[in-house]
Parts: sequence; structure tokens; C-alpha cells
Amino acid sequence: MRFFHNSNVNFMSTRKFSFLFSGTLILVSIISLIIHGGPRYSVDFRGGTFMEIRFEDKTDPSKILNIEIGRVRDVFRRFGLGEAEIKHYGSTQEIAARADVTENTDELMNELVQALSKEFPNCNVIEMRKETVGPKVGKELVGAAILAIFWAIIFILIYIMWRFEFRFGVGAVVALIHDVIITLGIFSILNKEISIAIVAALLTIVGYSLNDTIVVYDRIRENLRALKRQSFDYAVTINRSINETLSRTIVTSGTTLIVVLILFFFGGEVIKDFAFALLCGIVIGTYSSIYVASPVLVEWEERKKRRGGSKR
Amino acid sequence: MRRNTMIKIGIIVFFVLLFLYLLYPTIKFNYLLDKADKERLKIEDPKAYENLLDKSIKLGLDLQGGMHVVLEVDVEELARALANNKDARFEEAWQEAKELAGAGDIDFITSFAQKLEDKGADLARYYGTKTRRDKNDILKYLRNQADEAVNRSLEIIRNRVDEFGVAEPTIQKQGSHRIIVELAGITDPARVRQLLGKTALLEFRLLKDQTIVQNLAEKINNYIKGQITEEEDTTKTSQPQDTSVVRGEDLFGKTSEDTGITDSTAKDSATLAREALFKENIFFRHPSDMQVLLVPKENEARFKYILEDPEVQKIIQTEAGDAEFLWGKLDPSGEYYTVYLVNKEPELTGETITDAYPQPGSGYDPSSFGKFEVSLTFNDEGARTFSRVTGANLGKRLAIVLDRKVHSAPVIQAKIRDGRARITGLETMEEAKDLAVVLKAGALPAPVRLLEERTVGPSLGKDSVTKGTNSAILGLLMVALFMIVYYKFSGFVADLALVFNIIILLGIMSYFHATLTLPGIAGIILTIGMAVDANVLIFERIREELDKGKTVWASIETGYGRAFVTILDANVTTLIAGIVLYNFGSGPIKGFALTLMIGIVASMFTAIFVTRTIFEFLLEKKVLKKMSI
Repeated sequence: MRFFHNSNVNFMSTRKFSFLFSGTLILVSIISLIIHGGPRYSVDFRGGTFMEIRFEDKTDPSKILNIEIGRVRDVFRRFGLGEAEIKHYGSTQEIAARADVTENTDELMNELVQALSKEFPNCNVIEMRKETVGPKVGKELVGAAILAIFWAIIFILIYIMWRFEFRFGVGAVVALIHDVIITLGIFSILNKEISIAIVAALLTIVGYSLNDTIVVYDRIRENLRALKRQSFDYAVTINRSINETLSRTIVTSGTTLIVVLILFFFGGEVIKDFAFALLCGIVIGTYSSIYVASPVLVEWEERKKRRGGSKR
Repeated sequence: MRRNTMIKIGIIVFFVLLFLYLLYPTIKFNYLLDKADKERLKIEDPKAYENLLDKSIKLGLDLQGGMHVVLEVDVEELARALANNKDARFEEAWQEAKELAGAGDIDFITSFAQKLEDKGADLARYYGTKTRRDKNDILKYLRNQADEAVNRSLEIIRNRVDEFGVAEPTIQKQGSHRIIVELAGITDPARVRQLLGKTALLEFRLLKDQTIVQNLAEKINNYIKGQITEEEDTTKTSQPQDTSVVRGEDLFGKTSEDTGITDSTAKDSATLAREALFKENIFFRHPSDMQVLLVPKENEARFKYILEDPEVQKIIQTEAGDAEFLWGKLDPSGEYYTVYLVNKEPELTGETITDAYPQPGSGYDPSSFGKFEVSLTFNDEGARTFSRVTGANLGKRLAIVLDRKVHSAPVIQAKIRDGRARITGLETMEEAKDLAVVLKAGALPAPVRLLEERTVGPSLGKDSVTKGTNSAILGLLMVALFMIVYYKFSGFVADLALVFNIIILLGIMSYFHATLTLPGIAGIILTIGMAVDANVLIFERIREELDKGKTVWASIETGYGRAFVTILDANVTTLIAGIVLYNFGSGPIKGFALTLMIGIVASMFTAIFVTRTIFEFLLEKKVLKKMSI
């Protein structure tokens, strides 16, 4: 079996269109982020308490229950947590709550579980998870996360500049910033939370997006060397390189996508958003290595030529 | 060439066997032994058990359930505890500096010194000694104390955690003032949590006599009544606790029954006052213990508020002198807080305790039969003070106060001369253990506060293991199937490499006793998807070369050669992201970065060296005549 055998798509001719497309996506992402007042942070970053509680029928634990959020909220209200964000989590018999408390949360959790047991006398109320992060730690973590992504990008830029040329580094970094912003934008539009796990996913996307980009770059570098002494068209060479690696790009993205999809659907609720971020990142990363990272090189070359031409 | 291939085959076989061997303890521990076997091994041959455990993959907190806690040494409280001659200016400056430090990232000690200066107070007044008068010296001293406090806390937390018998606790310093504690698979998080959060200052303070307590209670109550005349709350009359529920935790053999008798004799005289208290329902007297007040749980905040009222403070000052109310535990019914009136000045602090250990009640004392006790030892200074205090206050009650919370208030039964005391009459060994831990914690130099806390219940952990494992197996099958469909026999060879990759990955984790977390499993799954990338690159290249009409041998040669550079460059960048991630993340995230990195490095070996050798071997043996790709 073979996909894209001897493919010859002219990716460079649609360059303007793809820049426009990417630009729009980035703009939409940024607008969404502005409207929402920045990324929606989880308790990891903004401090507070996250609670995951499961309800099981006392006589038949496998029975599917439909727990009404309203009743749960009433119980929370008794503890002064009427403002807490409460929703179903994974199934209708599990709930997740987020509240802005960080003091004495153990006692609070115990009392909540007890009160919920009274409210739902037929259920076993099980404490699945509780995460409390003090506001001070949250603030520090935001800084650490930004710094981590920043350093990852800097180190990678240095490596690419060492192995390739400066413009390749720029192209790669443009592509991966593109990927990260759009992934953040998707999270913002879908109103999903950014947790530490999502930052980890973003860093993985950085690595993955580059992996893809570099395979294409590598071929471009090889083709450029082979053609060094001949007169050649930069755009054509790059286009050819993309086509030559196209089947690999699709196959690898495909296998990675398969496993991430499996993770998304079967990995459980805890890892779902993480898998979702990877999913976005892989799709966008594959797109950007073809439509963003390489066209940037062509654009660079043509601007240089034009500038050189006008001087003459 | 042929001998060369045989050597390569030999190397591969060696590595397969090696990593399978490394992986074996994990398999044995998790799949071959059941719980009973493990328990038996633990008893019969603890060394072998340790060894087995030490050489198998450790499950992270998120997979086996447990708690992750970040503690910070409370520099503010430390500065306060170290200060002498505290006055109003000190308190003001302290409060202001504390607020500043809480809001931003301004260092407390710096801003505190500044605030004191602004108020015209001299640091030396509070912290100075004959040799230490200079401001810089004092600042240095305070900083040193803070640093030392962290180290000492670390030691004591370690010591304390050991006493809980948690398997493989992680206790490490993070930054300069923080401590990370990770306790996996604990069955009773509440108990551990309580003890971890509760640290630092242990004091012995004398309880005020019951007449003072009763008088003061009445006065405060009158004051409250005066304050809320119009909306008097007379709804519910919750009954006071039955005497039988009050546990006797009294020191040196005094039991709760004794105090119970005193109560019944004094009952009539106090009936009126008590009834008045009931009407208010904010606090009332303990039915069996005249020196203790009870505050219903729902009134906790209200009562605290009342105590802070300057008028009430004045009442306390005039009625009881230098005393304050301290909160105790919830009573056994879990509905009332106990509140004690104690001297402001401690008689003795915890750092004079050198040892404390729980033990069953001694045999020759019939009343302690079936009960438990804590034996404690003081250092010379402590022994002297304790002897004086116990001698002068026979029959009085001495509250054991940890972090301004009363743990219990036993009765002094005898003068303790030799610095060896026993706290008797405890109901369970658990209780005795906890008290011993609390007493030892007294040597902790500074209060610690909780910054971060994450708990995962065991059922969620189990759930995650199942789902993670299933996803990994499914992912592996799907990818393997795809490779065979797409690359035929070559795909199968790549699949062999993939399986080998995972054996290496798990073998290395097993050998280093690395921690597998849920994101770690995700990392393995991602590795499955990405590890075949190297083979995809190689095979695509070989296909190209074959298209150009090259021979099988030449195509393999060029394919592997050309693809290697690409694979290296592409993997190095992923590795960079992995290293950054490893340094940024904590616990689970580190696990993810770890599996991802090992997987990538292993894939360089399996996807390039292993597959190539297999191809070469098969071509030489003429099993394979042309590439099935």
C-alpha cells in the first residue's frame, strides 16, 4: 500500500491562501483569548480546590445513575460554595467541582461527602480526587510554565540554527508558535481549562511539530545541496521536498493520531483533555510543517531577492 | 559481512535478554505474585522483598492512589516565635509585612525589617543578643534560622512519615523553604494529612481553674446577651454531651470518671448560668469537664469573632489575667469543638523533649490494663523545668498545645523529677502513636503551612491503570496492524522493533525503579505512535531508492544512511522538549517526560540498528530475496 506515490501538489502556489488561513486562525484564537481574559486556568494555576466525586448505587454498584447537578449544588451551597463550578465528569454519576477555597479543604471535603451521602441516601459517595493549590503556588506555576515553553523554543531554535540555517530556525519557530497559539485558541473557544497537563501537552506539541518540520527541512537541505551548482528555483525545490516527504508525513501523523485518538476515547477522563490537546497539536503541527514552516523559507528568499533587485 | 551480521544478531539477542531480565521483577511483582504471596515474602524474606520492589517499576500516586503535599516553612511565624519583648509596634509591623509577603513575592524578612524601621523600632530590641546587635547580623541570623528550619523540618517530617509505615515516601526539599511530601497508597489520608499539616510549636500550658473558666464564661455570655438583645436566638436546645462520650485522655492516670463526679456535685450551682449559655447557643459548658467549653461546629466562626472583640479581650484580661482561649479537637460525636482557657505563657516548650514513644499500659497498674500510654523523656533543661512545674501545680491540668491547638489536657499527678514522664489512659494504640508523634514534633523549630495538596483515591488510580493499559495495548495493536498493511513484511520487522522498544523502555524504568504515572502511560502510548516514525522514514527512503532501480542491498544501504540524519535531527528536538518538560513538571508530568525521552532514545536503537540487522540477516540467509515493502 502506498499513499501519495509520486505526488506533485503545488503547495507553494497556495502559499498566500495558507498564510491567510493561518493568520485567520491565529487572529480568532487571540480574539477568543482576549474576550475570555486570557486562558482559562485550572486550579493548578489560579489556585483553589478541584474535587472529583463519584456516586455508586449501594445495592448495585454497576447501575448507571443520573446525579442531578442542582441537588449537588444545593449541598455545596450549604457550605457557602454556591458559586462553585459543578459539572458532570466523564459520566452522569461522577461530578467535578471547582471552588475558590484553599483552607481546611480536607475537613470541607469530608463534610461535603457526608452531606452528599445524606442527600443521596441510596448512594455510596466516593472521594476520587482532590487537588488544592494555594494562590501563591498557582501564580508561580504560571511563570514556570511560560518559562518552560520559552526555553524549549530557545533551545530548539539554537539547535536548528546550528544544524541548518538561521532562516530555517525562524521558519520552525514561526510554525510552532503558530501551533501553540492555535491550540490555546481552540481551548479558549471550547472553554476548556489549561492545567499543568495541558502545558505538558503543549511542550510535546512543540517537540512533535518540530519533528515534522525538521523532516521536511532535512529533505530541503539535501535537495538544495544536490542542486547547489545548478540554477534552480527555490520554491520549486521546496515544493518538491515537501512532496517527497509527504507520504512519510501523513503516515507518521496517522500512526500518532491513531494512538492519541485511542487515548482520547479510552484513556479515561483524567487524561482526556491532555489527549485532546495532543490531538489538536498533531493536526495543526502536520498542517503547519507543510503550509507554514516551508512557505516561510520561500517568502524569506523572495523578499531577499526583491530587496536585492530594487537595490540594483 | 556475514560474521559482522552474526555479531550484530548476538548483540541484539543479548539486549533482548538483558532487558527482559531487567523487566522480570516488575512482571513478577505485579502479575506473578498475589497479595498473600507478597505479604508472606515480606515476612519470610524481607530482603528479597525489598530487592524485588527496588527493581520493579513504581506506580505513581495517580495510579495507586495517595497524596502529594507541598509544605512551606512559615517564615512569618518563625520570626514571631524567635522574637523577644514583642510589643505593639512589633505586631503591627509583623502584620503589615505578612500581608505584603502574602500578596506578592517580596521577601518577608526584608519587608519586615523595613516596616520595623519605618515605625522607629530597632530589630535588636527583639532579636539582639550581646554579640548580635547589628542589623545585618540579625537579618543574617533570621535567614539562617529560616534555612535551618527547613532542614530540620525535613528531618522531622521524614522521621514522622516513617512512623506511619507508608511504603516508599518521597520527602524532598524544593527551593529554599519548601518540602514536597508524597505518600503513595495510603489508606487513611485524613490521619496523615492532619499530622503533616500540624507541625512546629508544641507547648505545655496550664489550664485555668474551673472557677475562673466558669466566671469568665458567664461574663462573656452576659456581654453577648447585651449585644444581641433584639434578635435573641432561642430556637434549638441542643443537648450537651453525655458524659460517657467524653474520652479520658488525662495525664498520669487521672480518668474522666473523676472529673465526671466533680461535675455532678457542682451541677446545681451552675444550672442557671448554663441555661443562659444554652439560650445563646454559641458556646456552653462541657457537661463533664468544668474547665472546658464546647462550641457547636456551626458556631466556630462566630465564637472566634466574639473572642477577637476588644471588649471580650478586656473581660478575659480582667477575669483571667494573662490567658487566652485555645481550640481543641472536635469531641467524639464530631459536633462540638472543645475550647480551653490556658495561660498565655507556656510552662515549657516541645524542643526540650528528646523522645516520646507509645506503649501498652504497664502491667502492674490495674487501671492501665488494656489501655495505652506514651512515655516521654526531657533533656536536662526540660527535666528541671518540668520538675518545677509539676511540683508547683500538682492536681492541675497541663494542656499539650500544638500549633495553638490543644491536643489534650492531662492532669498532673505527681512531681516528675527525673525527666521521664508517662501519659496514661489512652484508649487505642493509634491514639498513643499520634500523641507520641505530636510530642516529638515539638522539637520542630517552625510552623509549616500547606501550599498545595493533591489526593487521588485508590479507586480512581485503579481505574486509570486499567484504562491506560488498555489504551496502550489497543494502540500498539492498531499501529502494528497498520504497519503490516502498509509496509507488508517490512512493517512486521518494524513491529518487532516496536515491541523491543517497549521492552527496553519498561526494562530501564524497572531497573531504575522509575515511577510510572498516568501521563507516563500516555508517554508510552505516544512513543508507540512516534517510534515507528524512524522506520517510516527509512522505509519511505528505501522505496524511493528501489523506485530509482537500485538493488535491494544498495537501497537498504542508502535508505538507512540517508534517513539516519533526519531521524537524529528530528529526535533531538523532541528530546530537547522532553528535557525542558522534565525540569518544569512535577510528579506525573515528569513521568510523561521520562517515558517519552527513554522511548525516543530506545527507538534510535531499535528502529535503526535492530531492523537493519534483521534485514541483512534475512537477505544473507536468502530467506528474503527482494524487499517486501
